[in-house]
Amino acid sequence: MLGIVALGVFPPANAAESSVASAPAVLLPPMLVEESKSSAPWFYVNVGGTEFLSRCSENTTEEFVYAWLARMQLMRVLVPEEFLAHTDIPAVCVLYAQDLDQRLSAEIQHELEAAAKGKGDSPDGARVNLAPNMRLGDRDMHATIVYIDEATFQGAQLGISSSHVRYLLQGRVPDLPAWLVEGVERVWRGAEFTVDPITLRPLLWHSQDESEELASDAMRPRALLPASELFASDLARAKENQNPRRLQTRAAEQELFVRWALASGEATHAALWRFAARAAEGPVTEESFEACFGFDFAELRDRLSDYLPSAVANSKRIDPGTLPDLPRFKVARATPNEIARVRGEWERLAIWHVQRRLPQAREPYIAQARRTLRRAYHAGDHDPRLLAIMGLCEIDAGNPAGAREFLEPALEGGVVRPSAYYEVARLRFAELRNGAPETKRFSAAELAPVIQPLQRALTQAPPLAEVFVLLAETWARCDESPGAVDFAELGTGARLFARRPSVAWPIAQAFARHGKKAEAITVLDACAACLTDEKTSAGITRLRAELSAPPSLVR
Amino acid sequence: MCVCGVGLARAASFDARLEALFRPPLGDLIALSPDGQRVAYTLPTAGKLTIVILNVENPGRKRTIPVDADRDVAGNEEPSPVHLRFLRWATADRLIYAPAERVVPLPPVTDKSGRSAPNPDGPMILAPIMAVDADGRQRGTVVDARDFQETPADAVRSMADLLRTPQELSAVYKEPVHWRMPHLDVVGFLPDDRNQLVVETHGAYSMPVKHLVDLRVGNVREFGGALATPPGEPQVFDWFRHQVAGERQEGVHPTTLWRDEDLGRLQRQLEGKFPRRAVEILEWSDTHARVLFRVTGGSDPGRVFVFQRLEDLVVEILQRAPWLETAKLNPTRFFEFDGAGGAHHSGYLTWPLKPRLTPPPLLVMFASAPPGRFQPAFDPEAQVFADRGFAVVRLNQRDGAGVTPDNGREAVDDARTAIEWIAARNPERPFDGKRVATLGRGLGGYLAARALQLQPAVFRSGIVIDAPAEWRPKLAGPAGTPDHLTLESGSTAEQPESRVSLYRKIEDFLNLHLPSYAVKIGATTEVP
Repeated sequence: MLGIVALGVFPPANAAESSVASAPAVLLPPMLVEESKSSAPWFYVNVGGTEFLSRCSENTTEEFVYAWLARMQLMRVLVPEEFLAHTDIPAVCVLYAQDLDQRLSAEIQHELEAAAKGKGDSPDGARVNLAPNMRLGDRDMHATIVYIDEATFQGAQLGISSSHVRYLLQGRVPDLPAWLVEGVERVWRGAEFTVDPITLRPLLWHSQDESEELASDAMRPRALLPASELFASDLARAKENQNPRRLQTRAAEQELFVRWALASGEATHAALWRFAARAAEGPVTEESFEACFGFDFAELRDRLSDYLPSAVANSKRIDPGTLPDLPRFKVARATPNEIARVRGEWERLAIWHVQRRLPQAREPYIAQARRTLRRAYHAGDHDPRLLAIMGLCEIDAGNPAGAREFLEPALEGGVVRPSAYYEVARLRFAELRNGAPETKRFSAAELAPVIQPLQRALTQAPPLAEVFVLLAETWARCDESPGAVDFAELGTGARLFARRPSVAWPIAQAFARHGKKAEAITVLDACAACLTDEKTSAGITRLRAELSAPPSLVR
Repeated sequence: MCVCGVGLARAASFDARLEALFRPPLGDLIALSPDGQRVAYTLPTAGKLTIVILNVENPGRKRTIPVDADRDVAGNEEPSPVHLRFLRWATADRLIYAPAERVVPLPPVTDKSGRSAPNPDGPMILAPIMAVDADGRQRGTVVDARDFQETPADAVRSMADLLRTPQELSAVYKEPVHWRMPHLDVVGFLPDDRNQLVVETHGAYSMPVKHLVDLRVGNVREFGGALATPPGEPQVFDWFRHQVAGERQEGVHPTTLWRDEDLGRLQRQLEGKFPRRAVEILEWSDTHARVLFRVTGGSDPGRVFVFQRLEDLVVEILQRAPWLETAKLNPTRFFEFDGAGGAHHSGYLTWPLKPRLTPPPLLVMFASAPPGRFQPAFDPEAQVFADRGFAVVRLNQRDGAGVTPDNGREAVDDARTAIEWIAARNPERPFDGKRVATLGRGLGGYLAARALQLQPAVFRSGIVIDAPAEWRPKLAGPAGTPDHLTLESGSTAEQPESRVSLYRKIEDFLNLHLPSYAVKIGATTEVP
């Protein structure tokens, strides 16, 4: 999964975000200048769960990292750590001075011109821009590149874009409900972190005019969704009336709810996150809401309505309290390994992004990532982290056979990289099944090389949905019953990804395959209100029918 | 009496709180325009009444229309609060309203011998039916009872006399002609032309007659068509189709039985949006695309909404008591359960937002209404006592329970059962079982006294207000019965002037008579 743009440096505010929204051009990740073509040194910092690789000055790097840490600390005031994506793999942040060369490579220019000629278009190159700031995400980590104008940069002006907040919320496992993610994101947009942090600016309710009218007339008619609809499941939301006014009301009310909860005192603030935790693990009910907030759905609607005129009229300061000291760190010259790993990771992530946005420009990105990674490898660097990146790079480049050459030793080296374990397991399982009929069952011994890396992946964060899916599919093909621990692992997957029928379905199949009918039904019930694709939906329906049949018919 | 500065401030705050809790709610009458675009509702302020008109979408500025019933005839009377008996949109932008009818007797006449005798004419009936445009213009009386003055049949001597007023007849025949004014009621609008208002006169010399009033030009003519007179409550009338659309059902869960299937569907849909609340559909647009409805229950005094079907959006039009913030009201929950023998118990529990003792004392309020009538969801008095730190239970009398001077035992047993059930079902919210008081008005007052007599170990003191006179001798219990405070008729919370002193008396009494409940609230007073 790749996303775009997380980090904005203000001013200019959210430059990349706005350009994404308005420009028709495709935004490509910048290609970093080759070491041989630039004498600017790389600096490295590893702090706060992020590896920073910087080609800015030492001072700018330090100021940036401090500002980043301070903003993340404030983020955790609004959103507790446990509701943000957690990963054992450090995020990557590449800082680049704006005065360094940032151009499309000659190869990309050439590829684009060739492609345009093939289509009969004018090869003016105007369709492609380089993103100034960009975040690229993978299954188990994310990387950001930030271009900084060192002459004007002030750490105090650094802002974390709302899309990055959204990314961190969406990466949380179990999945947070959409109303919470969208509500927090909008609150974040209206929050001020530089002067008198954290100040929530007056709420914008639909429009500036409407907000002003409400502020001056607290009895002005206003539409709010009932709480049962505000907290509707994804499935219910997909099926509900899609009238634009209703959707606008939903979006605004989600923000209103989160703001109200954050601004109404410690008890309500705490209740919000208790409720969010429950909502992530199962459908929202009026009882679960009442257990957290102490009043019912209808009263919530009333309270939100009563709060609205004040919210549009007034700012609200959330006192962050006494924050712990920021962690100490030292800006050091980056080692070749650090440069290769961090830079190579960024370049690897760029491949998949380009593949999606502009496939004809993919090859130069692959080549550059390989160059960066192999330079260190051929110099004798066999760090398992580097090997894992190299293996994943080959996967992204469409070379699975070549990937194992790096991934297998990375695993042997005990790398922390769930996606590496998953890829190895996937390749081994594919190899095992190659040529075998779909109905063939395998022995536990045959499947052990598949299951073992998956189980290793489960000990690392983040838990990956595809790991549980593959684990379930593997057990479903096993002619021996899994042990209690194995079933428990599948149960964990069902709990963590209860909102994803595409995960629940294979897990339920594995349970059903080994006679755990009740468990299978429980898993399917838990995701009944979740949105899914037609194939999964049909598969679940079929499985349910099988589970409802006499026991002898359940296979 | 000792009063300190803090006490004064608290007293003022207490008085203001009482005023706010008992202030008449907005929107006693409310109407939705046939196209569903506009709402009009009544707004009582300082003894006067206004009508507020607003747009549902793009509300803009609200229009306020003063309701000043014609007082010229009764100018010597003390102005009394104006109430509306009719408020309904004729068309998308023309509103019809009618202040409550007033009947003013004419002064006695003196006969030739100088003796006073009742006036043979009149009485004067003031029953204006008024109209105003949505923009506040074109406001005035469309028709009034005086437009239908009638004379006795023998005063009409020719066809031409039929068209003459009593005053004109007197002038023509040079002799006094008696006259009466009929009562004037609104029947409705012609379904195919809502600019034609149908009114009915009755109660003068002639039989009831329907008339057609053209709202555009003011012409009045007799109406011979068939248009059903709208029945009153509990029937719900469809003013577009001129037929009964449903019937209100009182009960623990008040509801409406709809004959109109679509309205029934809407009722269910809206109830789904407001769980645990009572949803009352008040009016609808001609196509049912928009529906005006009221929601009551919980801690809130009630709100009115317009449901926009196309968008599936519920627009809050008004809070009935916007001066009371939901979050600052003591939370109120409905409860119900089946007791022994299948008896169904129900009522409301109001929990103090700020208990002054932990656990708080409990006040059990018996219903003043006879069985078959139920406690309202929002009760200002329960809020008053919860403000004073009491958990307050208001009990519904169960259906079929009769009370005579000799019993009341069943109702008292029910109260004890409810107390035990609440204690068992709410362990996270314990009340002090040793500090339970009771209160009741009228029939409820009698039951409060009986509770002290029959269950002295449960109820430690009580307040008996305005108990039926014939049962008062029975209020004094045997030795050992806990003390109660008896308050006579007139101790009513409805009257602002007596409200403050009423609650102070009750509070002082409870302070003294609930053992160790020595909490002083409001101004510090010495109780003899």
